[in-house]
Amino acid sequence: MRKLLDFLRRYNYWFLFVLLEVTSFTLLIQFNNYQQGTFFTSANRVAGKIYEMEANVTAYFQLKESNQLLLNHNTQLEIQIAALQKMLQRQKVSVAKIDSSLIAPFIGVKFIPAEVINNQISEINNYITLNKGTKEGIKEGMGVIGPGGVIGIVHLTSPHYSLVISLLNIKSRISCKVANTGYFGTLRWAPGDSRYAFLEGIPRHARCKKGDFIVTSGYSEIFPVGARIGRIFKVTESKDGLSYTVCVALSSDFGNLTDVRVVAQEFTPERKQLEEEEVKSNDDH
Amino acid sequence: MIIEYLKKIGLLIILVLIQVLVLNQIHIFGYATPILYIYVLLKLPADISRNGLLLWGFTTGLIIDFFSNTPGMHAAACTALTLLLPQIRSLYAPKGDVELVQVGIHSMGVSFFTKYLLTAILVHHSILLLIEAFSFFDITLLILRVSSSTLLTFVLIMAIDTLNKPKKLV
Repeated sequence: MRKLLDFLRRYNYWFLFVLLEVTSFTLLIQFNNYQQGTFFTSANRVAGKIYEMEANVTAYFQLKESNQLLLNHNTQLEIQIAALQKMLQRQKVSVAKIDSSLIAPFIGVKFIPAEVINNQISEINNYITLNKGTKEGIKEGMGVIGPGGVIGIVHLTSPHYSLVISLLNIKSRISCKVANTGYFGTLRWAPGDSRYAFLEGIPRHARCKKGDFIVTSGYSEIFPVGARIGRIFKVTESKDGLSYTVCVALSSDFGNLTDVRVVAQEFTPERKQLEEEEVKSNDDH
Repeated sequence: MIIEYLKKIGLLIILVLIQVLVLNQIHIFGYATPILYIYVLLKLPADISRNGLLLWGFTTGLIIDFFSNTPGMHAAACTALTLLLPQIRSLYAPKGDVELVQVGIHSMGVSFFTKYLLTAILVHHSILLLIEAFSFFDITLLILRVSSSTLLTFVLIMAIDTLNKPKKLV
């Protein structure tokens, strides 16, 4: 008995060690598998505040680049508007007379501007922290778009901050298509290079070539149809030889992200109802 | 005693801030990230209780986890490191030496401290990056990341500890 007590006294740190390790792994597994609070992430109040303070300082160093980026984006939009106006004139419709049916698809889409306060690019699971949260109307599952194109999907939200699964995360899956042909697949990322991602599941009879634009498909209603993702960089055969794997050069520069927009799409009531019924029937079985 | 601990907590806060605001943004060749914050664990006095050592490790790791969105990962690696620290020290301790209290290059000597430091960093980085590899396994990437980060952390801590001379007792 005495020996046993002695043993326990000498080696009691092993119990503490096991306890702490079990706690750590529970946290790790929970974070990877379940939706939960933001307490253990950089979207909690203390970490968020510190990152926000840092972003306030470092944002100045990137002002020039951000300006250039916005200018380019603006110019592109202006060119697009000019082209569209020309097309409308050819159709003999005056610009002033655009009726509400033309804008209808955009009703219910709202953009919430937000600032990136923390951004990881070279981990295996990269996350982005934004300085807006549920108070500004950001919800889990919303899409995030930057000046270059798609950035990621909101994962967790707290009142003032939100945590976004970056496109550069091996858990990220985004449904997208080749812009001119319409063949669709799932965009994934493999750790290593922050400039490229992979589009899987493009059928072998699809013709795609280097330089084709890749855009969101809009099937999931997270992103609007046609939001830019990147351009085809290389086409290779997939391992099973049944489809192509397309290497996509991303159009967003993830190393230099400051201002982004969160896409708040209101689900059409009919679709929502349909999907809820589906979930219900799955639960019943 | 309490002042000593307050100093350690101050060092911890400074190192955490340096780690998350500066060093986490560094990725030399895309692989090597210096992990400086373990310096505070390596410098804990040798006469601290085993339980206290473990708690220091767990807490430090958890704070880093807050910032880097990896709940539990750094905590697990640091707890394992603090379990092994006394063993690593006794492994390399010169025979017949007096009991060591202060940990550092000036009190331990270059050879002893180098071996201790290199082993400790290697243990921590291996465990950390192995846990990370649960979600994505690529052996070349793993070895590259462990070796390059170990080297970088080692150089950084050696430099800091050499500069950090303890005040001479008069």
